Amino acid sequence: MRLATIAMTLAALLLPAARAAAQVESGLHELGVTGSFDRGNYEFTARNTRIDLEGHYGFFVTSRIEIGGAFSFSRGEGDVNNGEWVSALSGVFDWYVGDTSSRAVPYIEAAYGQLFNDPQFLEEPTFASVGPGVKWFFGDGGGALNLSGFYRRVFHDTGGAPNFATGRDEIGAKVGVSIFFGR
Amino acid sequence: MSNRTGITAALVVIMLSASATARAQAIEAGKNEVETDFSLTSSKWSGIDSNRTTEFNWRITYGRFVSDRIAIGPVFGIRNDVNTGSKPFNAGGLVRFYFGDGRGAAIPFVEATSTRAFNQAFEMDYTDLQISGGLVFPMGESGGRFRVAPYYYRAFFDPDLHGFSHFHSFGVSWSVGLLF
Repeated sequence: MRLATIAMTLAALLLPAARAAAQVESGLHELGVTGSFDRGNYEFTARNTRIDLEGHYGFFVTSRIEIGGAFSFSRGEGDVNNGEWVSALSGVFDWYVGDTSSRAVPYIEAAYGQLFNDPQFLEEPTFASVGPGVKWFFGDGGGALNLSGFYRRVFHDTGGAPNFATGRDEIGAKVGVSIFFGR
Repeated sequence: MSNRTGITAALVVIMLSASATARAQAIEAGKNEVETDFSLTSSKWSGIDSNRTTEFNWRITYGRFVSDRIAIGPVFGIRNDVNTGSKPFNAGGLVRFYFGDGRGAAIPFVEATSTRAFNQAFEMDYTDLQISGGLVFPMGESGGRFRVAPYYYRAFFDPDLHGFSHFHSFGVSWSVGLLF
Protein backbone atom coordinates (compact mmCIF):
# COMPACT_ATOMS: atom_id res chain seq x y z
CA MET A 1 0.00 0.00 0.00
CA ARG A 2 2.82 2.37 0.95
CA LEU A 3 4.70 1.41 -2.24
CA ALA A 4 1.59 2.12 -4.30
CA THR A 5 1.25 5.55 -2.70
CA ILE A 6 4.88 6.39 -3.51
CA ALA A 7 4.45 5.13 -7.09
CA MET A 8 1.28 7.17 -7.58
CA THR A 9 2.97 10.30 -6.20
CA LEU A 10 5.92 9.83 -8.56
CA ALA A 11 3.57 9.26 -11.49
CA ALA A 12 1.63 12.41 -10.60
CA LEU A 13 4.89 14.35 -10.56
CA LEU A 14 6.28 12.96 -13.81
CA LEU A 15 3.20 12.64 -16.00
CA PRO A 16 2.36 16.36 -16.20
CA ALA A 17 5.98 16.98 -17.09
CA ALA A 18 5.79 14.55 -20.00
CA ARG A 19 3.01 16.39 -21.82
CA ALA A 20 4.78 19.41 -23.28
CA ALA A 21 8.03 19.73 -25.21
CA ALA A 22 11.12 21.54 -23.99
CA GLN A 23 14.15 22.61 -25.91
CA VAL A 24 17.74 23.69 -25.45
CA GLU A 25 18.78 26.31 -27.97
CA SER A 26 21.60 28.68 -28.76
CA GLY A 27 21.60 31.86 -26.71
CA LEU A 28 20.09 30.18 -23.65
CA HIS A 29 21.63 30.69 -20.20
CA GLU A 30 21.70 27.99 -17.54
CA LEU A 31 22.22 28.69 -13.86
CA GLY A 32 22.31 26.47 -10.80
CA VAL A 33 23.26 28.04 -7.48
CA THR A 34 22.89 27.32 -3.81
CA GLY A 35 24.45 28.91 -0.79
CA SER A 36 24.08 30.89 2.38
CA PHE A 37 25.62 33.49 4.63
CA ASP A 38 25.15 32.36 8.20
CA ARG A 39 26.08 33.63 11.70
CA GLY A 40 25.34 31.18 14.48
CA ASN A 41 26.40 29.78 17.82
CA TYR A 42 25.61 27.16 20.44
CA GLU A 43 24.49 28.38 23.83
CA PHE A 44 27.54 29.58 25.86
CA THR A 45 29.80 29.72 22.79
CA ALA A 46 30.99 32.51 20.54
CA ARG A 47 29.20 33.31 17.32
CA ASN A 48 30.80 32.14 14.09
CA THR A 49 30.26 33.27 10.53
CA ARG A 50 30.14 30.94 7.58
CA ILE A 51 29.74 31.60 3.88
CA ASP A 52 28.96 28.89 1.32
CA LEU A 53 28.38 29.37 -2.37
CA GLU A 54 28.39 26.80 -5.10
CA GLY A 55 26.89 26.45 -8.50
CA HIS A 56 27.39 26.49 -12.21
CA TYR A 57 26.69 28.77 -15.13
CA GLY A 58 26.53 27.81 -18.78
CA PHE A 59 25.80 29.48 -22.10
CA PHE A 60 24.50 27.60 -25.14
CA VAL A 61 26.73 28.64 -28.03
CA THR A 62 24.73 26.31 -30.29
CA SER A 63 21.66 24.15 -29.68
CA ARG A 64 23.99 21.26 -28.80
CA ILE A 65 27.03 22.86 -27.16
CA GLU A 66 27.11 24.63 -23.83
CA ILE A 67 30.21 26.14 -22.27
CA GLY A 68 30.55 27.57 -18.81
CA GLY A 69 32.03 27.10 -15.39
CA ALA A 70 31.40 25.45 -12.04
CA PHE A 71 32.48 26.94 -8.76
CA SER A 72 32.37 26.45 -5.01
CA PHE A 73 33.52 28.84 -2.29
CA SER A 74 33.38 28.19 1.42
CA ARG A 75 34.75 30.06 4.40
CA GLY A 76 34.10 29.60 8.10
CA GLU A 77 35.53 30.70 11.41
CA GLY A 78 36.79 28.52 14.26
CA ASP A 79 37.30 24.89 13.30
CA VAL A 80 35.62 25.28 9.94
CA ASN A 81 38.25 25.50 7.18
CA ASN A 82 40.60 27.24 9.69
CA GLY A 83 39.19 30.56 8.54
CA GLU A 84 40.53 29.96 5.03
CA TRP A 85 38.69 30.25 1.76
CA VAL A 86 38.28 26.72 0.37
CA SER A 87 37.29 26.80 -3.25
CA ALA A 88 37.16 24.97 -6.54
CA LEU A 89 36.92 26.39 -10.03
CA SER A 90 36.51 24.56 -13.31
CA GLY A 91 35.66 25.12 -16.92
CA VAL A 92 32.85 22.93 -18.25
CA PHE A 93 31.96 21.74 -21.75
CA ASP A 94 28.60 20.03 -22.37
CA TRP A 95 27.61 18.32 -25.60
CA TYR A 96 23.88 17.58 -25.94
CA VAL A 97 22.96 14.48 -27.93
CA GLY A 98 19.70 13.00 -29.20
CA ASP A 99 16.50 14.98 -29.63
CA THR A 100 17.10 18.42 -28.10
CA SER A 101 13.39 19.28 -28.27
CA SER A 102 12.29 16.40 -26.07
CA ARG A 103 11.42 16.55 -22.39
CA ALA A 104 14.59 14.63 -21.38
CA VAL A 105 17.78 15.76 -23.12
CA PRO A 106 20.92 13.63 -22.63
CA TYR A 107 24.39 15.15 -22.63
CA ILE A 108 28.06 14.36 -22.11
CA GLU A 109 30.14 16.64 -19.91
CA ALA A 110 33.86 17.25 -19.63
CA ALA A 111 35.51 19.60 -17.15
CA TYR A 112 38.96 20.69 -16.00
CA GLY A 113 39.72 22.73 -12.94
CA GLN A 114 41.62 23.30 -9.72
CA LEU A 115 41.04 22.95 -5.96
CA PHE A 116 42.27 25.72 -3.66
CA ASN A 117 43.07 25.34 0.08
CA ASP A 118 41.30 21.98 0.27
CA PRO A 119 42.38 20.44 3.63
CA GLN A 120 42.35 16.96 2.06
CA PHE A 121 45.37 17.87 -0.07
CA LEU A 122 48.81 19.26 0.74
CA GLU A 123 48.99 20.93 -2.66
CA GLU A 124 46.34 22.70 -4.68
CA PRO A 125 45.64 19.94 -7.19
CA THR A 126 44.09 20.14 -10.61
CA PHE A 127 41.38 17.72 -11.72
CA ALA A 128 39.64 16.50 -14.84
CA SER A 129 36.22 14.88 -15.07
CA VAL A 130 33.96 13.33 -17.65
CA GLY A 131 30.52 11.78 -17.50
CA PRO A 132 27.02 11.42 -18.92
CA GLY A 133 23.87 13.14 -17.77
CA VAL A 134 20.31 13.96 -18.63
CA LYS A 135 18.31 17.14 -18.09
CA TRP A 136 14.61 16.57 -17.45
CA PHE A 137 12.70 19.77 -18.23
CA PHE A 138 9.63 20.93 -16.32
CA GLY A 139 6.87 23.34 -17.27
CA ASP A 140 7.79 25.37 -20.34
CA GLY A 141 11.48 24.67 -19.89
CA GLY A 142 12.32 27.30 -17.29
CA GLY A 143 13.72 24.62 -14.98
CA ALA A 144 15.18 21.14 -15.21
CA LEU A 145 16.21 18.31 -12.97
CA ASN A 146 19.84 17.53 -13.74
CA LEU A 147 20.91 13.90 -13.22
CA SER A 148 24.51 13.00 -13.95
CA GLY A 149 27.30 10.55 -13.31
CA PHE A 150 31.00 11.31 -13.39
CA TYR A 151 34.52 9.99 -13.26
CA ARG A 152 36.97 12.51 -11.79
CA ARG A 153 40.72 12.29 -11.54
CA VAL A 154 42.41 14.56 -9.01
CA PHE A 155 46.06 14.86 -10.00
CA HIS A 156 48.67 14.75 -7.27
CA ASP A 157 50.67 17.48 -8.95
CA THR A 158 54.37 17.86 -8.33
CA GLY A 159 54.70 20.97 -10.45
CA GLY A 160 54.48 21.25 -14.19
CA ALA A 161 52.26 18.83 -16.08
CA PRO A 162 49.57 16.77 -14.28
CA ASN A 163 50.90 13.65 -12.56
CA PHE A 164 49.06 10.64 -13.99
CA ALA A 165 50.83 8.08 -11.75
CA THR A 166 49.55 9.29 -8.39
CA GLY A 167 46.22 10.87 -7.70
CA ARG A 168 42.71 10.21 -6.55
CA ASP A 169 40.08 8.51 -8.69
CA GLU A 170 36.48 9.36 -7.97
CA ILE A 171 33.24 8.05 -9.37
CA GLY A 172 29.86 9.32 -8.40
CA ALA A 173 26.46 10.70 -9.23
CA LYS A 174 24.72 14.02 -8.73
CA VAL A 175 21.19 15.31 -8.88
CA GLY A 176 20.46 19.01 -8.87
CA VAL A 177 18.23 21.68 -10.31
CA SER A 178 19.05 24.22 -13.02
CA ILE A 179 17.06 27.22 -14.20
CA PHE A 180 17.08 28.48 -17.79
CA PHE A 181 16.52 32.00 -19.09
CA GLY A 182 17.18 34.22 -22.07
CA ARG A 183 14.80 32.53 -24.53
CA MET B 1 32.54 49.89 -12.36
CA SER B 2 34.94 46.93 -12.27
CA ASN B 3 34.64 44.09 -14.77
CA ARG B 4 33.48 41.69 -12.04
CA THR B 5 30.79 44.07 -10.82
CA GLY B 6 29.70 44.73 -14.39
CA ILE B 7 29.35 41.02 -15.22
CA THR B 8 27.41 40.38 -12.00
CA ALA B 9 25.09 43.33 -12.71
CA ALA B 10 24.56 42.15 -16.30
CA LEU B 11 23.66 38.64 -15.11
CA VAL B 12 21.16 39.97 -12.56
CA VAL B 13 19.58 42.23 -15.20
CA ILE B 14 19.33 39.31 -17.67
CA MET B 15 17.71 37.10 -15.02
CA LEU B 16 15.26 39.75 -13.89
CA SER B 17 14.34 40.87 -17.40
CA ALA B 18 13.79 37.24 -18.42
CA SER B 19 11.49 36.67 -15.48
CA ALA B 20 9.81 40.06 -15.96
CA THR B 21 8.42 38.92 -19.32
CA ALA B 22 6.52 36.12 -17.57
CA ARG B 23 2.93 37.01 -16.87
CA ALA B 24 1.45 33.56 -16.42
CA GLN B 25 0.17 32.50 -13.02
CA ALA B 26 3.38 31.07 -11.55
CA ILE B 27 1.72 29.86 -8.35
CA GLU B 28 -1.74 28.33 -8.05
CA ALA B 29 -3.52 25.46 -6.38
CA GLY B 30 -2.34 22.08 -7.67
CA LYS B 31 1.16 23.20 -8.65
CA ASN B 32 4.34 21.78 -7.15
CA GLU B 33 7.62 23.22 -5.91
CA VAL B 34 10.72 21.05 -5.52
CA GLU B 35 14.27 21.67 -4.40
CA THR B 36 16.69 18.78 -4.32
CA ASP B 37 20.41 18.19 -4.18
CA PHE B 38 22.03 14.75 -4.19
CA SER B 39 25.68 13.79 -4.46
CA LEU B 40 27.43 10.43 -4.22
CA THR B 41 31.20 10.14 -4.48
CA SER B 42 33.32 7.03 -4.09
CA SER B 43 37.05 7.78 -4.12
CA LYS B 44 40.36 5.97 -3.80
CA TRP B 45 43.96 7.09 -4.12
CA SER B 46 46.04 5.41 -6.78
CA GLY B 47 49.82 5.07 -6.49
CA ILE B 48 49.67 4.85 -2.67
CA ASP B 49 48.03 2.55 -0.12
CA SER B 50 44.53 3.73 0.73
CA ASN B 51 41.00 2.60 1.43
CA ARG B 52 38.00 3.49 -0.68
CA THR B 53 35.88 6.26 0.82
CA THR B 54 32.23 6.68 -0.10
CA GLU B 55 30.22 9.75 0.81
CA PHE B 56 26.69 10.77 0.01
CA ASN B 57 24.40 13.63 0.84
CA TRP B 58 20.77 14.13 -0.16
CA ARG B 59 18.26 16.81 0.68
CA ILE B 60 14.81 17.36 -0.78
CA THR B 61 11.96 19.72 -0.05
CA TYR B 62 8.60 19.37 -1.75
CA GLY B 63 5.71 21.79 -1.58
CA ARG B 64 2.23 21.19 -2.92
CA PHE B 65 0.02 24.24 -3.45
CA VAL B 66 -3.17 23.44 -1.56
CA SER B 67 -4.46 26.90 -2.50
CA ASP B 68 -3.21 29.75 -4.69
CA ARG B 69 -1.28 31.09 -1.70
CA ILE B 70 -0.33 28.16 0.52
CA ALA B 71 2.06 25.28 -0.14
CA ILE B 72 2.77 22.47 2.32
CA GLY B 73 5.00 19.42 2.09
CA PRO B 74 7.77 17.26 3.51
CA VAL B 75 11.45 18.01 4.11
CA PHE B 76 14.02 15.23 4.20
CA GLY B 77 17.81 15.14 4.36
CA ILE B 78 20.31 12.33 4.87
CA ARG B 79 24.07 11.88 4.64
CA ASN B 80 26.67 9.37 5.70
CA ASP B 81 29.26 10.21 8.33
CA VAL B 82 32.54 8.64 7.14
CA ASN B 83 34.07 8.99 10.62
CA THR B 84 31.41 7.07 12.54
CA GLY B 85 29.77 5.10 9.74
CA SER B 86 26.38 6.41 10.83
CA LYS B 87 23.73 7.96 8.62
CA PRO B 88 22.31 11.07 10.31
CA PHE B 89 19.03 12.24 8.84
CA ASN B 90 16.38 14.94 9.28
CA ALA B 91 12.69 14.55 8.57
CA GLY B 92 9.95 17.12 8.91
CA GLY B 93 7.68 19.47 7.06
CA LEU B 94 7.21 22.97 5.75
CA VAL B 95 4.46 25.46 5.15
CA ARG B 96 4.83 28.47 2.81
CA PHE B 97 2.53 31.41 2.39
CA TYR B 98 2.83 33.51 -0.77
CA PHE B 99 1.43 36.98 -1.00
CA GLY B 100 1.45 39.79 -3.52
CA ASP B 101 0.92 39.29 -7.26
CA GLY B 102 1.12 35.61 -8.26
CA ARG B 103 1.82 36.70 -11.84
CA GLY B 104 4.62 39.04 -10.86
CA ALA B 105 8.28 38.71 -11.71
CA ALA B 106 9.06 38.47 -7.99
CA ILE B 107 6.67 36.84 -5.52
CA PRO B 108 7.16 37.43 -1.79
CA PHE B 109 6.68 34.59 0.70
CA VAL B 110 7.13 33.56 4.30
CA GLU B 111 8.01 30.00 5.32
CA ALA B 112 8.25 27.86 8.44
CA THR B 113 10.23 24.60 8.36
CA SER B 114 10.67 22.17 11.21
CA THR B 115 12.50 18.85 11.32
CA ARG B 116 13.58 16.21 13.81
CA ALA B 117 17.21 15.08 13.52
CA PHE B 118 17.99 11.41 14.12
CA ASN B 119 21.18 9.32 14.35
CA GLN B 120 23.31 12.34 15.21
CA ALA B 121 26.88 12.01 16.54
CA PHE B 122 27.10 11.58 20.34
CA GLU B 123 23.33 10.94 20.40
CA MET B 124 22.73 14.67 19.98
CA ASP B 125 19.36 14.32 18.27
CA TYR B 126 17.46 17.58 18.15
CA THR B 127 14.39 19.36 16.83
CA ASP B 128 14.82 22.49 14.74
CA LEU B 129 12.74 25.34 13.44
CA GLN B 130 13.52 27.80 10.66
CA ILE B 131 11.52 30.92 9.86
CA SER B 132 12.32 32.63 6.59
CA GLY B 133 10.85 35.20 4.27
CA GLY B 134 11.99 36.33 0.88
CA LEU B 135 11.35 36.48 -2.82
CA VAL B 136 10.83 33.86 -5.52
CA PHE B 137 11.65 34.74 -9.14
CA PRO B 138 9.84 32.39 -11.58
CA MET B 139 11.77 31.65 -14.78
CA GLY B 140 9.63 31.64 -17.90
CA GLU B 141 5.96 30.81 -17.48
CA SER B 142 6.85 27.96 -15.17
CA GLY B 143 9.42 25.23 -14.69
CA GLY B 144 12.05 26.91 -12.58
CA ARG B 145 12.59 29.61 -10.03
CA PHE B 146 15.35 31.43 -8.20
CA ARG B 147 14.82 32.18 -4.54
CA VAL B 148 16.56 34.36 -1.98
CA ALA B 149 15.49 34.40 1.66
CA PRO B 150 16.79 35.76 4.96
CA TYR B 151 16.14 33.31 7.82
CA TYR B 152 16.35 32.65 11.52
CA TYR B 153 17.23 29.08 12.55
CA ARG B 154 17.08 27.45 15.98
CA ALA B 155 17.86 23.87 17.04
CA PHE B 156 16.57 22.72 20.41
CA PHE B 157 18.65 20.31 22.52
CA ASP B 158 17.98 18.60 25.83
CA PRO B 159 19.99 20.67 28.38
CA ASP B 160 20.05 17.82 30.90
CA LEU B 161 21.57 15.49 28.32
CA HIS B 162 23.80 17.84 26.34
CA GLY B 163 24.61 20.68 28.72
CA PHE B 164 23.18 23.35 26.45
CA SER B 165 19.73 24.12 25.22
CA HIS B 166 20.10 25.45 21.70
CA PHE B 167 22.02 26.40 18.63
CA HIS B 168 20.77 29.37 16.72
CA SER B 169 21.80 31.34 13.69
CA PHE B 170 20.58 33.89 11.25
CA GLY B 171 21.56 34.53 7.67
CA VAL B 172 20.41 34.56 4.10
CA SER B 173 20.20 31.67 1.65
CA TRP B 174 19.81 31.51 -2.11
CA SER B 175 18.89 28.57 -4.32
CA VAL B 176 17.16 27.40 -7.46
CA GLY B 177 14.22 25.01 -7.65
CA LEU B 178 11.48 23.58 -9.83
CA LEU B 179 8.05 25.21 -10.02
CA PHE B 180 5.58 23.32 -12.20
